[in-house]
Amino acid sequence: MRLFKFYFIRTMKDSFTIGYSIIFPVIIVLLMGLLRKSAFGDLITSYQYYSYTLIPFCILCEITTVAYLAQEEARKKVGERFLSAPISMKTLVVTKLFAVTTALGICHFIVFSIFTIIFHTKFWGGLFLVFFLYQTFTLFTASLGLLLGLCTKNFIIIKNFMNIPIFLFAILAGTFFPISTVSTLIKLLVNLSPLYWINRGIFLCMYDNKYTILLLCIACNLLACAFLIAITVVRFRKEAFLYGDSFSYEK
Amino acid sequence: MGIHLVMKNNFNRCMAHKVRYIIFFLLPIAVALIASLVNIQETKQYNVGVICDNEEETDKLVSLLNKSEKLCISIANYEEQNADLLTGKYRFIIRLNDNKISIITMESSKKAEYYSNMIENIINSKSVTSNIKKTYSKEQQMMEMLLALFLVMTTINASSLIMDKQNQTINRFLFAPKRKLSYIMGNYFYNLLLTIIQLSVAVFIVKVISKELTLDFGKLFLLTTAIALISTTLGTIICLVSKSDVSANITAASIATVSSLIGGAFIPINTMPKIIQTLSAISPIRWIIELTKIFLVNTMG
Repeated sequence: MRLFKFYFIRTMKDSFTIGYSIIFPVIIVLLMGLLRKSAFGDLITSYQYYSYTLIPFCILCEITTVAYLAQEEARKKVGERFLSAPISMKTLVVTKLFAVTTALGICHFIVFSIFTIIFHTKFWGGLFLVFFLYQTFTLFTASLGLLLGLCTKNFIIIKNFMNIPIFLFAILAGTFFPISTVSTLIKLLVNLSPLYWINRGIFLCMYDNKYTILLLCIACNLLACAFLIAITVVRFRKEAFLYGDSFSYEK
Repeated sequence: MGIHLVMKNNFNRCMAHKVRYIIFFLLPIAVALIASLVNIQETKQYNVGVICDNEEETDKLVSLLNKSEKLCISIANYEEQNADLLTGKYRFIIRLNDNKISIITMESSKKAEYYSNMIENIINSKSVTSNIKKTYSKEQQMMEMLLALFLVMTTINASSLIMDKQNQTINRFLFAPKRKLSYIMGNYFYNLLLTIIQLSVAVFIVKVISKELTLDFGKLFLLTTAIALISTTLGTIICLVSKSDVSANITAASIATVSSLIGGAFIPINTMPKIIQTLSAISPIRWIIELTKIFLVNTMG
């Protein structure tokens, strides 16, 4: 519990993480909503559409942020103190995961509330389920971030290219504008984007009262999270925890 | 001399990890290639869903509408119609109820009316004019996409400046004695050269594969050089003002996103609000779209 509190407070004090989780989504939704105002009709307004699609995108973008938070001990040269303390690897990883997820979850709740109040986004019908989906997706991205931060040897190379698949997934999922395509290749790529299924699950839940995909997404997030955490605990690299900030960089 | 030494040192560093360097060199080319080809091969057709209570009438309507090359018709699920429209599975849905056709779309009522007229024209076997307004040419779309992509890529390349600052490599260089500017310019020219080669290879392959690009190799090379110059300059500036490579990467990704939005990558500039149109002047994406337009006008008259 003390460790959880420590990690939680440290994440909440990180102005960059908080700014990126709160200010960035609000600005991007306002900007996209304003730009695409005339393209939407009675079914949904542009602000509502982007409130639904941009929160999952911003959560996915947090993978790199979490990976950096995972290596904070290495950057502050305090890793050895943690390793010599009577704490198991499992406790360390799981506590870090829940602390980061809780801190980011609070940020998402703030963004979620802002959108609900300002844009009258119809979150109320499936409010709990949609919010739960966001939380499980945060849990998934946090566990993937931890895996990258604590278990990969060439983290610098991986994180450098992390933004590219994230943006491709977002474009294919219709995060910036709905993709209406007849090309079979693009349809296949769209189906491969996890953001597409999350957006579809949310729209089905909110506008068609169908919950199957949303619940499946929640289940997949939880399963993937459990799997990633198991790998992180098994493949935990002490070198990454101690010298993760520099060990893969050629001098 | 200092600039040349830094460039040579950067190249030697890469050669120390050949496999990693090959991946690092080829990956942006592959991503640029995939994105350009997907963009070029996209056909201008509407995906349309049909919902009808009567099965016989549905088949009749589908076979009638399938005659139009502009439409790609399939039967929609009534229970998922809103999600299908919102996720872009269908541009619009035709609902046939008691021989009355209604259009369901997430777009404006003006657009719904337009779609309704278009369907009526198809049913009455009247000619249908081009339904989708072509906003940008293939070249413009490809160039703005490449610039957005390489804004992020060049920042990744330039982040070695931050690493060198943290590892005191720059300090060692200054003891030589050489100027700091030589170090920065050495890195800049090395990254510029690398970006020009990567972009040129990607554009060359796209030009050979696709016959839809009207610009010749010379003009395409000039455009890729312009993209490389803009992206490398911005990437280097971002890395010089950033304290860590994570902040540099996130700043570059945010700048790429915002400049794509206001620069007209997703929405044509003339449809934007006046204030955003003025703001878009600062977006490098707009510069490259305009530059490509000038080349296209020169080529095609």
